[in-house]
Amino acid sequence: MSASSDILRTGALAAEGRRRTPHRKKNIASRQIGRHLSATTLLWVFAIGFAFPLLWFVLSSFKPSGDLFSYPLTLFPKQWTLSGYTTAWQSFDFAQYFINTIIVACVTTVLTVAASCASGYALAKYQNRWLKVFFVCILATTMLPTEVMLAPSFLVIRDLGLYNALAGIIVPSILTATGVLMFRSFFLTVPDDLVEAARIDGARELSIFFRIMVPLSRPIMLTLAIFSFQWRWNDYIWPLLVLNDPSKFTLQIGIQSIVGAQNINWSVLLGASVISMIPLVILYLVFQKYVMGANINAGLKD
Amino acid sequence: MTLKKSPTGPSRLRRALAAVAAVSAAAIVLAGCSSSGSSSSDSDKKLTLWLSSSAAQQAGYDQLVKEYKQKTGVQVKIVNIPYSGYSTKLRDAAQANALPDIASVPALDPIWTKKLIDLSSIVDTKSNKINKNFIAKTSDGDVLAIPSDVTASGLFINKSLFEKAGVSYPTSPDKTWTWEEFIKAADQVRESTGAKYDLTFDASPSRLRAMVYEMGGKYVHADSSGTFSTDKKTQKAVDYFVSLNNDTIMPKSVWTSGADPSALFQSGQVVAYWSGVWQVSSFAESITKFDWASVPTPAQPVQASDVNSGGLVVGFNNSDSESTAAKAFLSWMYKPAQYKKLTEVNGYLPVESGLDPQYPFKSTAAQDAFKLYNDELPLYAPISGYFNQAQTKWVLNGKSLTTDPSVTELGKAINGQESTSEALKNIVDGYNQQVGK
Repeated sequence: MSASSDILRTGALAAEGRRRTPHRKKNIASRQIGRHLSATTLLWVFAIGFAFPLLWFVLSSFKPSGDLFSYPLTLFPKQWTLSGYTTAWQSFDFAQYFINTIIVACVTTVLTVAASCASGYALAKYQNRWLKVFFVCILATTMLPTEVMLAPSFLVIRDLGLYNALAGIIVPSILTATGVLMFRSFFLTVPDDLVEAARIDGARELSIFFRIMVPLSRPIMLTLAIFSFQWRWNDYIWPLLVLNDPSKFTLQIGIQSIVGAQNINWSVLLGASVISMIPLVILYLVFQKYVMGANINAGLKD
Repeated sequence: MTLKKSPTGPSRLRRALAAVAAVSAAAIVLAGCSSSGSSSSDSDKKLTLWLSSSAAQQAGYDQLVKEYKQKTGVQVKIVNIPYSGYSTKLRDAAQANALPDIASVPALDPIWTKKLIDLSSIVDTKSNKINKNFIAKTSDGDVLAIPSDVTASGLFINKSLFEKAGVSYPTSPDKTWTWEEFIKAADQVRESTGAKYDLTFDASPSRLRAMVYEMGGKYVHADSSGTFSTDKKTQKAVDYFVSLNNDTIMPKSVWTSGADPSALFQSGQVVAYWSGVWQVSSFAESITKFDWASVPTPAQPVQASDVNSGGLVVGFNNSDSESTAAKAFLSWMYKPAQYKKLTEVNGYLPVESGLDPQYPFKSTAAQDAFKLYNDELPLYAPISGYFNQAQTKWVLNGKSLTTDPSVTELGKAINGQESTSEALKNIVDGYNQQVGK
């Protein structure tokens, strides 16, 4: 606003305007610096806002339990200790829980990606009344919170004989509406001409899918894979209900059992939580590029 | 873009995909098989015990189980289940016919009480000396649960602050103080040491009940017809409690917005903490910056506390042979020799009398605390066990107090949103609605 009125005024008062020109340039430049500066500063403020609790959390895990609540609070431990970590690792069958969780997260992720890719493609590229009904059914699953479906899903799993088996936590989480929707909306953007051209060249439907569509959708695959891994890694209540045998427990059950009815052993809990974060951090470092993309879709329901 | 790609790429990917799918399908089938295969066999030599406790309090059971295996060859497998979700898991397990043989549960649930085995022979064994006030007994005389231990509310003080201020405190239950004397002493300590608050008070109905009992009230009490009401002394005690929440004597944040009273006390800025015996073992390790002590519960003039069962030990009737084996284990566990070890290792207050357990704590504060609790328990007025017994009665009638409205309503009273008498009325209504006649 003020810039345009400046220009109007310079038109009217040319002589004066000539004198004012360098001043105006400087003005705009400083305003631009100001704009950039404020955006960057804001980013830093947010970054610190997000990072600070995490930093405190990680640093606190190295404090002895007597230091955790002592006043005044300190950011850095006065005395570094790994006792929280060692107690956490020893008090539960942590290695076994770790392996179980990795098996569950990996197998589910592979199956989720495969199932979502195939069904997303079918829903986007084939026209059929029953497919539409199926699509609505998938959509409907997002309308019920997981807690509501807990009891009926439990009965199904029990009757299928999957109670107390890792498969009992893998199978129900394979099909996720989010995954199907992600692939469907992606395949909708792929022009139909591509499919038709392939058909004219004599490609069968399956080879169109595997040779053309699957490679095209690689970014979406990675995005969903990261999501799915994260969901399964953090799952708690469903594994707790389905698994009975401690040798099949997942990591989150182990961590949750540190939180007692009456009191919480904070130093052990902190250590265990940091350990459980490590795989996700590694995943993030490896797939950083795609995680950034994945979080654009954050807020979707699993 | 993709049309330019070499033809080998996609086919390799396809093969990889197919391989992964095949492997994972096989894994699922295998996982399914292995579980169904192992669970049905060797069931007569193996029992399952569910509990929810810290690793430290599992140690006592671990030791017992090891001894039992050596003695009888029967293996008892312990599964430690997270507390949040334990009751849901028990319900689902009851549906799936996958209940354990033995369990230590936080509360009975009408959904599975019919599957419990009768433990009356253990209670009736005279040499066990089990305190019958804490067992869950049906009207037919069946004993459904025996507590693993007893818990009681209790008062902790920051001993260093008291010493710094030169204020004395009672050490023996015969010469305890009243709530008013205690608050006066705490005021003095706070003022002379610059501490922030006199007291933090767990946001728990149980802790409030204990205080009300000590001031002569009965809290929310059912009459013979099963209708709940409160008495005048309760009204007075609750009024007093609400008035203490003034951000000087007690921080309002604990009852109104869920601040952690234990963390506040552990910061060393609070003179005293009203909690319970279960804090002792954790304080023994986690408080290193100052000295703490357990002091006798105030009596104004009633010597009381809210005494509950720590965990309820139950046996499930899964099959004839399994329930016999479960009962054999429990009979053995509650024999004084074994039970004494359990209480010592786990830091339990025993439900059996005459044990004189020697706790393994290095901290003298913890040793003294346990001695004090063990001395005080027999002195408590009968009202102390009222709620624990009432709870069992409700469950046996198929009802349960799923949400105690006390904390929410009194939070409102502390915030000034309603008067104490309105809050009490709402609490009584809540009780009548959930577990009343």
